[in-house]
Amino acid sequence: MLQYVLRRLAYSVIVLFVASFLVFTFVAKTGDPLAALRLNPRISPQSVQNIKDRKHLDDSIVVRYGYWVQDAFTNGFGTTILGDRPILPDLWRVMKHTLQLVIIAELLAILIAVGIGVYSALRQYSVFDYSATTFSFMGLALPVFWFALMLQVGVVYVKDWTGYNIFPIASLSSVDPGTGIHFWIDRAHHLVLPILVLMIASIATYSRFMRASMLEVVNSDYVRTARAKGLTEKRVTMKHAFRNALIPLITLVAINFGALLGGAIATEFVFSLDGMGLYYINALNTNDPYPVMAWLMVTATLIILFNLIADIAYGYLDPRVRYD
Amino acid sequence: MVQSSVQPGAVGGVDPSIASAPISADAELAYEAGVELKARSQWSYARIRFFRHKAAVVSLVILILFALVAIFAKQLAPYGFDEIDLEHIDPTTGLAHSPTLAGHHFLGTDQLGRDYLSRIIYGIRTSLWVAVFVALLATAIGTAIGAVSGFYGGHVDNILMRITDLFFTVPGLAILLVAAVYLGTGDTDVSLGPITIPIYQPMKIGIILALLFWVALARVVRGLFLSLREKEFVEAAKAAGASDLRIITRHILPNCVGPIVVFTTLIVAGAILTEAFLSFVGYGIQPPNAALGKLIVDGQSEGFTLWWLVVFPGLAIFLIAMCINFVGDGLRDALDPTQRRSR
Repeated sequence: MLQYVLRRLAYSVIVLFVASFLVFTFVAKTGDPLAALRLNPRISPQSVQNIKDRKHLDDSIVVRYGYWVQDAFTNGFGTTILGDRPILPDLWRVMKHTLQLVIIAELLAILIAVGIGVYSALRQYSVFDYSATTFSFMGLALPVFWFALMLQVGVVYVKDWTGYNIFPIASLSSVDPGTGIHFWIDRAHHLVLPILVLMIASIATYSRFMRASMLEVVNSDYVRTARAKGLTEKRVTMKHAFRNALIPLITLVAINFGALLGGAIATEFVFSLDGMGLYYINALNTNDPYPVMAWLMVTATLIILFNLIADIAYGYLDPRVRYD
Repeated sequence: MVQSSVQPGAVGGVDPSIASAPISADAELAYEAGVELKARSQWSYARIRFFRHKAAVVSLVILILFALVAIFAKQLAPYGFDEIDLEHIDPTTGLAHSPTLAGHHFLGTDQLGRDYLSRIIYGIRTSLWVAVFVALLATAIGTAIGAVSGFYGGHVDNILMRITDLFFTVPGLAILLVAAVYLGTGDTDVSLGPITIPIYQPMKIGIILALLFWVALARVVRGLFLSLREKEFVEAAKAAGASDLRIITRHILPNCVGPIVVFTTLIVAGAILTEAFLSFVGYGIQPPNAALGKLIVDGQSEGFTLWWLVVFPGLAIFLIAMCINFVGDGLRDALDPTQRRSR
């Protein structure tokens, strides 16, 4: 087991290095991060050159990458080219916001999806089952950003008719959110719509998966045995079938974590939430490799950790699985 | 009752001379059990299974309509993509008009007085074209690499698995954005010696998307090849002296067609959604090319008072993606009976 974990980690580190070099090259060659400064007549060419020297912008790409690796390990991913802003504090802040959003959305989605999936499996071919299937097909075809916009359109029109603003449609907090419990109520109010948006795709995926997994378990031999020895139907479904059907979902949730952070890019962009997604898009817009790279490294580390935890949990919950 | 149940051809063309009275139920059973009542090819079985999936059939019809609209955009669109209608618009009430059944602009006009139906039709044309291009390219690359990797193993396989690791480690969308920012803007001419190939900007976006989407398909094909290459018929072909190329293309690949086709439909849907998002963020298809995602971002700039500018392009994306998913589901039932959803 330990050997398996170590080998997986070693692979991940190699992959990360290759990926980071490729992305660094792409971003560094995309455009001139100092273009805005050059256009500003009040900034002398000498100070532009100073920034270039300090940030090693005239060196070859391999040398610049070397400097980046050094900064990443010793200096918390370094500072931005424009404004010399330390990257790590910003990244922690946006990561906190995104994780609030993503984890709440994901937990709610899992709860709802497990309910839908199990119920459709137990009432296979019922009206509920067909509606759930149709719903999940719709959920998978829904463009995330468009769904977010539609909610915003709805809120704006409700406000026009009733004069009452049911939900805020942008940012994480009001201008003056207060402190303590008031702050968190305000935050929750702001997060309702983004969480709803993030949940849809997850519910669609998980409920389909849960249904299939539950159907497989319900038709298995040990469930038949449980019935044969006279257990109540409730006990058979809840203790014997449901618990085992839940196990494969763990892997799916872990793999989906990366896609979820991708989905957060769209959601945060539309609702202009100060989270990782918006941070990433803004970083790309500045042509500055440092914040882009820092984002990718932190995200990748999160994803690797999630997958590892899922693997270990899976091995623990399902003794038939052995890693070697 | 006895008479009404004899319907030659109803359940797949049962010969009426053999058929006794309650034939349709029996034929159904016989068909399910794999007993042949009449010589039929794999394809006609697949067709029967597909046409049983009502949602898939309806979706296919809708998709064909969308495709026709895309192909004949120039003939069908009442106005040009960038044409400002000064005849029917009253500028004193603003250039943007809401959808109306009475007037000339069925889906209204945008902020500059351009017919929105026409703009959406051209948008569908570009978006569908890109999606199909992505699907074909990604399928070609994914199948080729997956086949070689699964059949030979070794270095190719190792490299493939590491690339897949990369996409499991970093969100694909993030990589895609980097690539789109780096490569995506403007038309480029790629010169190969004396020949110069112009690459239009939407095609570039298509290539970038394909670079993301081939990976998952390659994994699927690799898995299929890994199991199929151990089968007896491959051994037999080898014993008969068939070359590797022949074994791959003539013996193993035809057995993978079902899963590949199903996966390709998923790629089309994924490509439509992803391209729309890229265009929405501003890194996708650039003007003057039309794209549904770009229409949405332009439409929302007025702060949602012009709701139709946001609703209709998104609805088009949603409908196309949903129909493709249903068709894919029908194809899975039809081509891949072992993977059949229990429904």
